[in-house]
Amino acid sequence: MDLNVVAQVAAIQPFLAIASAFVLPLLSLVVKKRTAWESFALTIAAINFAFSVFLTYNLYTSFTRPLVYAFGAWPPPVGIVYEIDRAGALMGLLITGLVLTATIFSLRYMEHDTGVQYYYALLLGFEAGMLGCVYTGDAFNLFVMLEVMSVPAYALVAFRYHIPEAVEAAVKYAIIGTAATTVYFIAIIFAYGAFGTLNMADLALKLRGSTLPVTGPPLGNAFLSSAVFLALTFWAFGLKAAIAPNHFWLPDAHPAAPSPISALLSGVMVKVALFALMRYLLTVFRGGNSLAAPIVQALDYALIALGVLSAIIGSTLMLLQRDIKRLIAYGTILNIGYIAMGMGLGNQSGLIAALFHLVNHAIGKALLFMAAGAIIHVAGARDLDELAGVGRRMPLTSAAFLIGALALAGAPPLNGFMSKLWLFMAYLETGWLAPLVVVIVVTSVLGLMGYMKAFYHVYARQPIKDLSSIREAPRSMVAPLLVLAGLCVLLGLVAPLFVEGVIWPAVSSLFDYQGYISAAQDFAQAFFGGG
Amino acid sequence: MRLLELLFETIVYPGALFLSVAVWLTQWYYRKLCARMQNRMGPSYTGPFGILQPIADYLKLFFKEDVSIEGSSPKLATVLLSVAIGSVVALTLMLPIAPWPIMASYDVMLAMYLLVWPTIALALIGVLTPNPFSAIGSSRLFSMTLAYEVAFVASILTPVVLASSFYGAEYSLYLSCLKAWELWFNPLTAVSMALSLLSALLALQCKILAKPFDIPDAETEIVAGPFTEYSGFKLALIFGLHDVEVVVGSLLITMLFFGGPVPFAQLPWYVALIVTVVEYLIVIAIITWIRTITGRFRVDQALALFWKYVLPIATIALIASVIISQVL
Amino acid sequence: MTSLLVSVLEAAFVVLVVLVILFIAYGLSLRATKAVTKSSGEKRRPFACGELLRPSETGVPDASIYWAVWKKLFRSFYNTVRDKVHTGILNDWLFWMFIFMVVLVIIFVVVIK
Repeated sequence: MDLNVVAQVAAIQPFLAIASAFVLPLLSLVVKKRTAWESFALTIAAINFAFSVFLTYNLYTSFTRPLVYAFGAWPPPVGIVYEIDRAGALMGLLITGLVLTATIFSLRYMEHDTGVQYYYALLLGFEAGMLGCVYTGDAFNLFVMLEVMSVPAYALVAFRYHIPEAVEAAVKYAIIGTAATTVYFIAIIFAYGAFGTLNMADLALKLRGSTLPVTGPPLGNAFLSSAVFLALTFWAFGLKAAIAPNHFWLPDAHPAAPSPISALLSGVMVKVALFALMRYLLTVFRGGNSLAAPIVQALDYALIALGVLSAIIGSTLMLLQRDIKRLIAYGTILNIGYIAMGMGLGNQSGLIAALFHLVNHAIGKALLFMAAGAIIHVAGARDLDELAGVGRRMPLTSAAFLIGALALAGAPPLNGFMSKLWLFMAYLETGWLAPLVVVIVVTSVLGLMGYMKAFYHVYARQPIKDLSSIREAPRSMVAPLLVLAGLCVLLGLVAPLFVEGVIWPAVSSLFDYQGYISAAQDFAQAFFGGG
Repeated sequence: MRLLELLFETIVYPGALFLSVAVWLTQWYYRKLCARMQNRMGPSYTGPFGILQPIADYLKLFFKEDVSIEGSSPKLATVLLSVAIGSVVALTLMLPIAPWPIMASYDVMLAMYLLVWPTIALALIGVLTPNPFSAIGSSRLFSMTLAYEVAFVASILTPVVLASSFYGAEYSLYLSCLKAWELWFNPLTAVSMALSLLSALLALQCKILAKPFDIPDAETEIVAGPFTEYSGFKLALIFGLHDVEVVVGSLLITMLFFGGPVPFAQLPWYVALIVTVVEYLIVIAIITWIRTITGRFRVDQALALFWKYVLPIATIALIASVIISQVL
Repeated sequence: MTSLLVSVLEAAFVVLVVLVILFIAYGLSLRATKAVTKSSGEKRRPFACGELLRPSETGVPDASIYWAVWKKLFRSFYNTVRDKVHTGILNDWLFWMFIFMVVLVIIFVVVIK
């Protein structure tokens, strides 16, 4: 397929989503029927998913270098570019797929809520922000898209504003999240001041001695400013990704949101932050004769240490929770710890484990939150004591919940086990980090016990209330659950092929700074005529 | 082709048939030894020296009615137990006694996962019956998993790490079993091996729920713990799972820490076989001996014992092994 | 040697085969015990040593469930982590996060020279 067409398809996705997000409330002034709003949102989500499938398929089969789309045909480094490589396309597929699933789930979940047009509008804006974050090739555009992603998230957490806990959680999340994006902005200031450019490919080039047209060599102390930039960026994205000790907001915010939104927050939003960190760490600042190599080393060690801390905090606190969604939220912190540990290894093995676990956790966590949402929707309670035995009357939902819990706890041959096994392998390969395998095992066992606690209360325990009004959840809520559960099983069974065919090319493209740089360079040189 | 190999291994050797015979003979030995230590007769009447007693017990259960009480999930219980027995059989196929083993680099972690599932299955089937004794028994079993599982993994990991860095065993269980026995001859690594052998034996004692760790199955307190409501074929599956765990756990320790038949590969095959069997019987004897002379721990005492004493020993052995392997 | 993930699938195949074998044996056992009548009444009630058991009493008392045992063992750890660190007060959280940022900047800027 023509490179331009595919790149345009990629670029149109966030704009389609945000335009629809603005159109929907206007539409709701004219058309008062709820089903119209829902179909509109569903159509946009489906279109975006179709675009992502198209983009990912083409990027994996036809193109070896990242696609570059320049907005307004302004070339890099003058204009804002989207530079989409295989990892970005994979993330885009994950985002749009899970947003589509959550939208289908929301159709019946939000049936008792009013103001639903704003819910779907915020959801589409959220999707736009996430897509922009993973596609972008420009540091400041990343900041903008981060805000576009975060503000709807704050609002969605507080969507049920008649519940005081939701509003409190949203306010805390908003304050902390804004601190994160502001600190990232300060980091960009340092980077711009020293390097004179905001384009990621240009930053990568300047760190290695050459430059794109128009901009010149670094102006100030490149090493010092890279250090400050990486420190602040790591803090900011670590906060958005809930890596300890920046994780405090997550156990309050994620349970307070409506369940499909929790699924998206835990499932994709924290992953987008991790992906942005991967982009900076691997493609821009690492490899070759980059100036910032010692700083990247330090960042690796920090990632491993904090990953261990996250895993310990997440798993030990998971056992104590009495609210089902809070228990699952602490599980997110645990698994983000694993992904951080994988990223911190900095080699292909570690990144394959991290990216594979990222995909698996996104699917499994979305499944868990939505299954919990279905149970809460039918039973009307969130406390585990009150949910005793409810799952016995909802066999499909309980089965999906069990598959999700087993997948994330790491039961063979489901997908979570495969990615954890790869993480073990990556750690044993390094030799001296082998004792950390004991940490992974301890936290896995604790995580398994935590998920078993939830399953025990929901399914195995004898009912204490009258359960005759409990029936299976509506079909449009059960269908996404079954699809995700099937995906968990399928990804586990075809894991060798999936890793080789999908994850490994994505990881290679993350490490391939040459391809990243040359794609932007060719585009710029074509415009400036060999400049 | 590979599927046919796996099929043969699973059904005949070292899978179902071999394990059935091993379970039979090991159970007879276990019960006879324990009885003689306690000045009792042990199995005496079924066959010479009571050797057919375990077979008689299993046949009895096979022909008894399988009562499932209302509110339980009998089919799920059967599936869980069968999957658990399958995991242990899959683990047996990873040891050097298998002709076409399941082998890959870094497969020691797969082995650890396969070892956890029997205990989880036993705890889950207890949860599935609406009986307070089963519920308490399952809860105790989950607590025990929190106690010994990590210590067991750490103590199995130590010889594997050492064998992989010194003899290139690539963290595969099969290759480590082939090489790890040579670690006893190096004084530095022998200390790590001794510490991890000690913690492995204690963790195995806990895993097979032998005294002093038979907390979930405490007859005088909670009838039969998680197994209270099971009878007939399912009870046979439960006992089968427990006995197969004993066999495979002891086989794992024999193979990994003592090398099994490998140190005697130059000698005639029957010498190696006899030595392996003797080592295996010694491991079972140690387990039986501890089981015979001790009472029963409380669940929090067992948890405290493992987290305060056994896990630190195992972790120190592992860290020492990593340091040694990096330095040398 | 096969790849690691392929060996997981081999182990899964073995588990499947054993599952089939045991289900066949289960079927045979059911056939062998067909002579015994379908159980009903007293046999199908949970065993409570001869006492009457109400459904509400079939649960586990809170102190013996496994997470309570774990919590009791690690009480001091949880008291520190839960009550002193995860307080729920936003200012405390921001304090910890700010300390982290300061440490990070110091490590990256000062130490790496």
